Amino acid sequence: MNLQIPGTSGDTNVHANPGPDVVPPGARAEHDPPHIHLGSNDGPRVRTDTWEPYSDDDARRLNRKQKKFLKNLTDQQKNVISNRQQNVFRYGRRLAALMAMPVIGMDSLTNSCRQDPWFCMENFPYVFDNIEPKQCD
Amino acid sequence: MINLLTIMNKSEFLKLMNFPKEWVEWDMYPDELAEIQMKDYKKGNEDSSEHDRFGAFNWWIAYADNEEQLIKLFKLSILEPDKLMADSVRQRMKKSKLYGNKMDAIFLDLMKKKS
Repeated sequence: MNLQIPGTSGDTNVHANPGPDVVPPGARAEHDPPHIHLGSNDGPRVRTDTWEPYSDDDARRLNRKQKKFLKNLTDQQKNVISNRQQNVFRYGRRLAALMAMPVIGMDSLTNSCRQDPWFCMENFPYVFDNIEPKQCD
Repeated sequence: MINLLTIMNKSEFLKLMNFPKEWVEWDMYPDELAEIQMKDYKKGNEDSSEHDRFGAFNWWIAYADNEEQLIKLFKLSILEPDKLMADSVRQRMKKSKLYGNKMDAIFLDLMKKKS
């Protein structure tokens, strides 16, 4: 899932995946320690606790553009990325379900969350507790 | 979505996803689990195959119904190529209904043997 970090595109898009508590048992799931994938859901991994590549193999997979992107991240950007990663880990498929819900009949808070789910995850996370998870990438 | 069941068998899928051979040898990859994982396959998933292996661990954490299965799962976590993910698995194993002081002692013993 693209975390939609301002200023990112292509190889520098920041992705995170839903954790094991919001997918059915057996389904692909993200794991700890917390990390992001660059470029795609399967792209090279970078830990969000150390901001280092997850493994030597991930370090080898990072291209020049991605290395430069990581080097230039500000503390503020790291905070945003880290928060969004944690929220996707916790609510991932519920977010996809929210985006797919019909607007008709939706209460105003849920509708607002649909328009700005990242803000909502960070400020009204309980909205997501009432949404049935949905398969997504 | 590709219907992988028609073009790839379970062994090929396990190899593609880098499962250690012990998953099969210890009878820890039943068809029921294979069906869940293979029907969700999309090209490129093999680039992050640890997500599938982690999914398999979680299936057993949810459905293991005897201590022997949980011990095998713990041993599989020791064999897991992604060591950081394996740590995460061992933390999650504490959520199993079978987990308790007795299992803690067995796991500690296994970890000592490993090191």
